[in-house]
Amino acid sequence: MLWNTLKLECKKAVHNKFFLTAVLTGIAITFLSLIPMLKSYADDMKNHMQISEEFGLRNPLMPMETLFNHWIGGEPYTPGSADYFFMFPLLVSIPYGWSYCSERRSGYLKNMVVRAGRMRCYLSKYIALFLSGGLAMVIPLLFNFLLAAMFIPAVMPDPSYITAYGIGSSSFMSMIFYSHPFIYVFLYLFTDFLFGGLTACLCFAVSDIVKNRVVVTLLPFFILLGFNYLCYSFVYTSAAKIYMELSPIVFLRPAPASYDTTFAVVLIWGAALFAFTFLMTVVRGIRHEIY
Amino acid sequence: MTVIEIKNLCKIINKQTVIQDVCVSMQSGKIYGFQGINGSGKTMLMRLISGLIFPTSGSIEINKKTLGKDIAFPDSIGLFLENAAFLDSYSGFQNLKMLASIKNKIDDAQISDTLSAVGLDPADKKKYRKYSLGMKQRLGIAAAIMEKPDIIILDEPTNALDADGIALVKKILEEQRGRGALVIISCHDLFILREMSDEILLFDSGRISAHLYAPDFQDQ
Repeated sequence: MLWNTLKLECKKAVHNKFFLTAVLTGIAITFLSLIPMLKSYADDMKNHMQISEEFGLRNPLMPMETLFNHWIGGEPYTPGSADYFFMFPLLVSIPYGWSYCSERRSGYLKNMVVRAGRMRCYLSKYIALFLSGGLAMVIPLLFNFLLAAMFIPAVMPDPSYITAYGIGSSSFMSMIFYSHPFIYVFLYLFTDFLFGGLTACLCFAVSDIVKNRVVVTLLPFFILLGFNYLCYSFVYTSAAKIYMELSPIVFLRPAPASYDTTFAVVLIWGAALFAFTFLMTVVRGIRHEIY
Repeated sequence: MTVIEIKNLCKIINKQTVIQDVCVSMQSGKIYGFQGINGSGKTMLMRLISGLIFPTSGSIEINKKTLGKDIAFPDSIGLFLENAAFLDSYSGFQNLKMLASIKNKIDDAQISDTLSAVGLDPADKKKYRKYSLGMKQRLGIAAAIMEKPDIIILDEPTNALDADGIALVKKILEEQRGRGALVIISCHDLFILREMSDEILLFDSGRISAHLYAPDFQDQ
C-alpha cells in the first residue's frame, strides 16, 4: 500500500500546474545567465582567435573558455546565476507546498489518511515533496548546462587558470573539478537536488504550525534568506579574514560566489534539515489529529 | 459482522469537552442516525470512530480491536465528513480512481458503476472545480461507498441535494445496509433521518441524550 500511495503522491506532485510553473520560471531565470555567457564566450573567442592569428601561435589561454565556467553553476557573475540561487527556496516550495496546504485545508487529506494510514500517507507525501522540490531545483540547472554545452565545448579545466574558474584548492570538491569536471557537475547537481528537496520539505514541516498557504510557501525562502543575512551581518565581519561559507543560498552554487564551503558544513546542513523536516512531518504526523 | 463498542468516550479540545461519556454499541446491517444541533458532537464522534482524532478517555472497539491501540483506523471504512474534498484539476472519475489506487481493491468498471449509482456520468470529463454543489456531494458519497466498506460514515449526505438526490441517497443507504454494512449518518432534518435510520442517537452538548429505535420513532 505504501508503494501505491507513493505513486499517487508523486503523480500529484509532478503532474500539476505549480510544478510546471516553478520549472518554467526556473528555466526562464537561467536564460539570464545563458545569454550573457554565450555572448561573453563569443567575444572572448574572437579575441583569442585574433591573438592567435597575429602571433601565429595557438592561444594558451584557450582552456579558460570552457563549458564548466560558462554554465549557470560555473559562473557567479550574471544576474541569472545570482537570481536563480537566491530564489531557489521559493521555486522549490511552489510545486507542492501550495497544493499540500490546499489539500489539508479542503479536507482531502482525510480521504487519503483513512485509506492509507497516517504513517504511509505522511511518508509518501514527504518523499513526493522531496522529489518534486529536488526536480524543480535541478531541471532548470540541467537544462542550462545542456543548452550551454550545445555552444561551448567542454574543454578540460586547467589549474593554471584557476582564477578563471573561481574554484581554488580549498573549494568544495575542487580536486574533482580539475580531474573529472563532468562528475563535479553531476555531484553538485545531486547536492542541489538534495537541498532543493529538503528545502521543499520545510513547507510540509511548518504547515502544522502556520496555516496560511502563502506564508507556508514563502517561509523556506525567508528562513534561508534570514540565515544568509545573519551570516553576512554577524559572522563574516572582517574583510581581512577568509571564512567558511555557511549559507546554503551561497554554497549551493557550484562556483563559489564568496567563501568556500566544506563537506562538513554541507553534511551538517543536510542532516539538520532532514532531521527537522522528517521529525516535524512523518514522526509528528503519526500522532496528528485531523479535523 | 462488524460491531462498534464505544465505552465512556470523552474528548476534550482546548479545555472544552466536546464528547462526554458516550457509551453506545452499533452493529452491521443497520443504519444509525445522528441528530442534534450544530456543535452537539455528531461530527466529532464520527471523527473519533474513523480514527482521525484520538479520544481523551474511554475507548472505541471495532470487532474487539481498540482503535488507537490495536488498530490506527478501522480496517474497512468509507468516509464522507462535512464537505466533499477532491482535487480540483481532475474529473470525478479520475479523483475516485486515484483514491481507489491506494488500496487497489476495485477496478475502473466498479468505479464507473459507483458513479452511475450516485447519478453521475462516469464518462464526464468535467473537472471537479466545475462541479455544482450537488455533484460534489454525490461524488463524496461515491468515494465513501465505492470500495464496499464494512463501516460507512456520512456526515450530512443530503446537504445541497434536491428531492431526487435525497431519494437516491436513501436507496443507496438501503443497498449498503442490505449487503451488511454498518452505516452512520447525520442529518439536521429529523424527518429524513427517521425515514432512513434503524436507530437514532440524539446529541446534546457532547452527550447522547436519547437512543431511539425504529418502531418507536417511526410511529411518531
